[in-house]
Amino acid sequence: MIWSLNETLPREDIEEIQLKRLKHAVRNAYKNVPYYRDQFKKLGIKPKDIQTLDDVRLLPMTTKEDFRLNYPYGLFARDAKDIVRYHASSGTTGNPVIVGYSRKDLENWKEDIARIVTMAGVTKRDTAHISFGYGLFTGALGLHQGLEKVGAGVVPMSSGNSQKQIKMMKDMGATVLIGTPSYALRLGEVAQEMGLDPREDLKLRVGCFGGEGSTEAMRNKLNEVFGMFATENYGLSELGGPGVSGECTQLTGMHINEDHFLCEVVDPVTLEPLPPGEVGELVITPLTKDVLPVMRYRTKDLTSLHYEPCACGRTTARMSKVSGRTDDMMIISGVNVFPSQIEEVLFSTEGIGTNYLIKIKTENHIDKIEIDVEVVDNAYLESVDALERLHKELQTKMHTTLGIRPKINLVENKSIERSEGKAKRILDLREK
Amino acid sequence: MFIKQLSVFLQNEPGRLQNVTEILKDGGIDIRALNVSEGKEFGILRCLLDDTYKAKFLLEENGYLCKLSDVLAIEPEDKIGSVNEVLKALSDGGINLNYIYSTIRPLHEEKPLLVISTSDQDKALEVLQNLEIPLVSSKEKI
Ligand SMILES: [Zn+2]
Repeated sequence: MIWSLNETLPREDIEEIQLKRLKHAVRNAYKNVPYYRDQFKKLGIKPKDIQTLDDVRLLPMTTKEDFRLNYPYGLFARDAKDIVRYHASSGTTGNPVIVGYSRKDLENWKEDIARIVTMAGVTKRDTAHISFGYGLFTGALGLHQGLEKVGAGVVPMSSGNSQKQIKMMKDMGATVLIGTPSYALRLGEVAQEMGLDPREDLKLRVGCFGGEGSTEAMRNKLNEVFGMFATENYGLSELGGPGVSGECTQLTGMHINEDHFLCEVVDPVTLEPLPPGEVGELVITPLTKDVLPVMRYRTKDLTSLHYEPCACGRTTARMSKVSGRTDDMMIISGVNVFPSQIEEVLFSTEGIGTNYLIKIKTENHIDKIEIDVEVVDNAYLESVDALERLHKELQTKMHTTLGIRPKINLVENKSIERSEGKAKRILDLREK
Repeated sequence: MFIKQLSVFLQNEPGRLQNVTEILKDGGIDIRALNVSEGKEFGILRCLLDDTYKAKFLLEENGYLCKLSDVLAIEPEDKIGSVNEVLKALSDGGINLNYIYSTIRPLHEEKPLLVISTSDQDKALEVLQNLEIPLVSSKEKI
């Protein structure tokens, strides 16, 4: 099922809507955000200079740092009387990013989520268990409201207390699981520890995962563990949370809500636009925001854009799975390494757990990378040879995939720390 | 006529084996025989215990990857040539030895207990039964 007609418009019509809304967003930023008015002045441009969609390139770019410098309300185009909700991103250091929503912003957000969960196959007959943490984080309430709009029954479980989560899913007969993919895998482990078979004892049918990146291998694992259809969706708290894009059942990438978000992909170094299909940094301009008309937000996420219509009937552009973050990229002895590459290898190897830890060290001024992985299949206890073979297989695959030779540490089952939100996967111990 | 052996995956780090023996001690479990096979980065602890199932439960509760397997445990006479006799019989039978180790203290006076794993345990059992050397079974309290 397709939620909105806006998802099936011919390209010219999509672009017409985008241009009209872009002009409006630019006027909102210029008129109501002093920070942007200064930026426009510095660049020598006025709102009227935006006459085509390509003119978006004339606009100033915005980074997370700009949010911090303008903390808390410096980028807001509305004041308290028009704002009905606030959220904040988890700032690991310093100030968090504060986002505000007008009533109309909330309506658009619900609409975007309703489209995304519908794309994934969720209907009003479903019961949706939300394992995102409620509170300032956008994920839980974002999905919550969109699912209610679709008519699904929402179980606002929040995160933590994994055993209770399993009990609730089982007792309520939840058919949809919402959360981060790594926490979903953790829930699968807990269910098994409780002596349950998640495929039989839980009724999960569809997964809508987000809040962190994932890989195809991770999807396969989720499908296998729960016997579900796992999908991914995308959003950023700076742009209001989830709702930018999501996967339809064709799994051909994530359909972008193009009438609400204008997406570009640029070279992360030169910032020049890249042609469709090429991987670069995703830059997003939200088109319909009252409170936060952010101009060209640099997501630091690496993806590519695809404009061919999809077999599902939608004509909206699709972004490929995020293959890494420009700032997650590790440079090890001059080679670019993404955690997602490492994940791909681990997930495609039998007998290895889903948790891992990448450690980067300096030894004699040379970068060394070590990866801790857990052995979870007791068939490997037959002989040291079997373990050595597994070890060698991992070493070889890593070398082929990464172009460098990380040291693989086979560690005891469950010795890597578990998390109940975004997983911590990288430990950089290099001397700075 | 086989006996249950517990195998435990160990990271090759100081104190890892001791951590296991600590858990066993706290559980009041007596180690009758033990052996560690080491790879470069990790090892496998194999042991015979007076309460194998309880040990497995306790170790798994502490996150250890464990496996139970059937091994042969025999009691050759404590005299010159007795071990050789066992090994010769196995090699004459075309059976490969995976590993062999012995108990910390004898089960019966003057008789060491040899723990044996081979490429073909059923055939090894047959060969050893023909030698008329006493075999210890799981039924016997070790
Ligand atoms: Zn589609």
